Amino acid sequence: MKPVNVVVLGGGLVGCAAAYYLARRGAGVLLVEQGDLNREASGRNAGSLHFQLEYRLIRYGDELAAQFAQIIPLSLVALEDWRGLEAELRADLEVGMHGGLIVAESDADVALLERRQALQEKWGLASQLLSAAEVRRMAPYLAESVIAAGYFPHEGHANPRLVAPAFARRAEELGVTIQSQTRVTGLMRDGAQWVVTVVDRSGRAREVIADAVLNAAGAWAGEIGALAHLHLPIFAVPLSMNVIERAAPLIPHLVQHASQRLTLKQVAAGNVLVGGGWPSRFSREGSAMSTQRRADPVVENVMANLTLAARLVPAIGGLHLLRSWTGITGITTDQMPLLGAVPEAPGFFVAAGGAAFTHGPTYARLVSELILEGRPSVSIDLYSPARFSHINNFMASV
Amino acid sequence: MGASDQQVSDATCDVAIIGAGPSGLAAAAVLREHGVGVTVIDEQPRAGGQILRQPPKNFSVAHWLPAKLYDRVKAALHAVSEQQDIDWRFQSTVLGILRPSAYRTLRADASGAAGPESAAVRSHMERQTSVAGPDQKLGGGAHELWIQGPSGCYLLRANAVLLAPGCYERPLAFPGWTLPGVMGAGAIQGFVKSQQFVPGNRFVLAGSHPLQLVVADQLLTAGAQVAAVVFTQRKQQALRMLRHPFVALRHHRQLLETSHILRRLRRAGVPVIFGHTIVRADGAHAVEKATIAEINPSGTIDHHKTHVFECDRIGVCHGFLASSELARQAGADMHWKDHAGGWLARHDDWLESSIKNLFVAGEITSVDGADAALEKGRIAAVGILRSLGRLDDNRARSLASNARKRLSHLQRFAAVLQQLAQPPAGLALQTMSDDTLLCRCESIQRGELQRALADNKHVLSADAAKLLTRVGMGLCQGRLCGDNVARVIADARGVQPDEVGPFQAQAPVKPVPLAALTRERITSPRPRM
Repeated sequence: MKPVNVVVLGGGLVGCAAAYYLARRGAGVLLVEQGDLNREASGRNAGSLHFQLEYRLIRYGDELAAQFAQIIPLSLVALEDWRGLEAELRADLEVGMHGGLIVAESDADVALLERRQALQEKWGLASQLLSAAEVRRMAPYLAESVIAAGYFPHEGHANPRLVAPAFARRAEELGVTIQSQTRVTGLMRDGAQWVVTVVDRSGRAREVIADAVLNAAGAWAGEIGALAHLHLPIFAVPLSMNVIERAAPLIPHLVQHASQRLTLKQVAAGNVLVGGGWPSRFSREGSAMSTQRRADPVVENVMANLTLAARLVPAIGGLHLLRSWTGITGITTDQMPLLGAVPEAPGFFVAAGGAAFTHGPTYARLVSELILEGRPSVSIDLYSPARFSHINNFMASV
Repeated sequence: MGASDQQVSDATCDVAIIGAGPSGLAAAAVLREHGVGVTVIDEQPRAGGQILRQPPKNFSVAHWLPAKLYDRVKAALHAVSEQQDIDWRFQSTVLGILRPSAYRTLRADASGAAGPESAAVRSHMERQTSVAGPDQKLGGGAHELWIQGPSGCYLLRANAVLLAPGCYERPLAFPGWTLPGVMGAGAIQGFVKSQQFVPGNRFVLAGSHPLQLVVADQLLTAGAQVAAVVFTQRKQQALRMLRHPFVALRHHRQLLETSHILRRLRRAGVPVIFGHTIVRADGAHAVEKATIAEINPSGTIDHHKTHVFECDRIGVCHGFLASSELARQAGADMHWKDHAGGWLARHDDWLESSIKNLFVAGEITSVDGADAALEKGRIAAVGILRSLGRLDDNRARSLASNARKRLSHLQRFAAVLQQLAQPPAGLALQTMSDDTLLCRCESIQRGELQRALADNKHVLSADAAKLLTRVGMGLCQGRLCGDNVARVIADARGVQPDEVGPFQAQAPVKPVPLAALTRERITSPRPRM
């Protein structure tokens, strides 16, 4: 086995992809996952490839929206990354980029779309505003209530079930060691190196020495940060997803709503996936919310989400809801990803938060360049954990 | 907002019983006697569970289930089935057992037709993250049931829940098992029992459980032909099962029944074959013939020693799996006992699960049969009365003591039966070939799963395999394939099936029509598949 240069913590999409990109550049990599690979948000999200500004980014007023729009340059890089991913990984990931529609049902929605479009243009993403007639031509499955839509031809979806495992397979071919069902219990800096204590499923502990640690633990990135005596302002949120039984191909697009929480798409198998950021409910553990125990669905939210979906796409109304589930994802305090080095802890890197499915492969590629080359091919300064130095300044132990 | 408000209501009941089979009925009787409000929820249109399968109300059936086997259960049914003070909710599916929310009234507002961005939603969201609600850890007490009834979905809050969901037949996958005409022996019996309808002409029954003798007998009585009854056990073992001295002494009734049945089968010229298993079903569009093969003494199938029977129905009878999805979804501690029904809920002396005021009775604690289920229902009911403060400990103990004695006798019988009726170890893996459908909902063959396991060696659990391959993602939610999937993974990884785990159960535990969930009338037709 190669000496370990980098320990990657987290076996989701970002972790598996980072392990692959690091190994492709010759690094020795150990990937540690507390559960099974791809079992949390990476495998449980909606699989949307959204490059337009999501509703969560524009709903809090123009000023914040303008700030959140800084994500677009990264989205444009991600778009190119996704185009090449199936060839790169020699795997069918069910990537379909047939366009995305953000639909409007009221004048207020249209006004919101116009503001969204102006912001997107400013950052270099050219979307179109479709009229009711154009929407009808392009997406006859949508309800009459849709009076306009923001359209970007390269949006779409990929299958979250397949992406991280494909990265993991290629990473292993390149010599990456993957240890699942293994917890990290200690992160200590020793001079220029990191001592990582890992405990496997049988309870055996061992220490691994590495030059760098990459925290790719998603909603758990804060807990990993705490092991290194750092505060990473990322919060776990439980989001519900719903899958509707198979139907004949009907919906080629990624469908979102201008002013409500909705993502809707039809996957290769024919099932319709409905989500959009409706919360489930964590169970309690003492005074805290547990991310380990099951989160309960909030029935009213499931119903509201599906009501909205069936209103926009009436044809699904006669089908069955097959399953609902919860994915626990990590949201940072400012909605931007945490991507880059933590200046107060040399050798400690983070890639978490934000739209980590759409952007995941890109986070992984750029942060691996940063770790191994000292600088990424595309600037990620905007998303650097250094923006929280005013906190970690008081945490750094050296 | 109109109708939508009534769909998600704040209704509360004392005790909700899930399942109107023997356990649920026996518990309802005890609770009712003590003046506790009881709501009984069942998917079927009438009470009785799978064991009784009452005929539809407007059917008149002469000699309904005359066998002595059913006497006790029938008595339990008659004791409560006409009681008007029990809140019966039939044709209703419990989709989930949830922790009650502190924010119910806010949420009733929030999800209305006004759309999600109302002030109420924001205030709800803020409260959800900032207000410390009442203690919601396991042991909080009350539960909230997500129910799909005949007119839509609603929530019902219960101070205590008795989960008595029963069991279903353990499927065996073999080439042709998805052909029309391959059924569970119990499913065949269901038709005969509830409607006196024989679903076929010529039957082969094959398996390891003595139920198939009862079904064969009922089929003969109903005028059908039985081509063969095939036991996996060798003759001596099967006879040990049927004539075990313990069984004979304490369970005269059951024994008498089986020896009568064997005699009747012999008289009708039905071959009863031992030491064989069904290995394939063939037919152009439906079953035309069944192939059985000998199991050699080491337990492996000898595919060169086969017999073929012409038939149009095959009843597979390999015992039962507890319907564990609601217990698992609720987060109750489970344990795996292969011959006793797979994944079972752990419980204390009062049949309370690891979750406060979630009691379990019947086959979910161990597939011990209907008579044992009655006693478990009675004990659980006393446990609920005790937990709700209606009975003190002494009174509860004395009230439950007779049921406990009877249960302990019945469970000794059940344990013997479980051991003897167990299909040979590894049989399930042997009957499946590479191209046998493992997951019929998603059309995934055994070989596909095995190749995925070989390519992704970090897949250790049933859930991880599901995520990677879609196995178990279909309409049955893994009820049909889960047991076999776990065996295939366990075999590939060299571990026991319980280390692979069951699929995670999530609410809703069964598919729900969107029309029952949405708040607006949907008029468009179902899209063509």
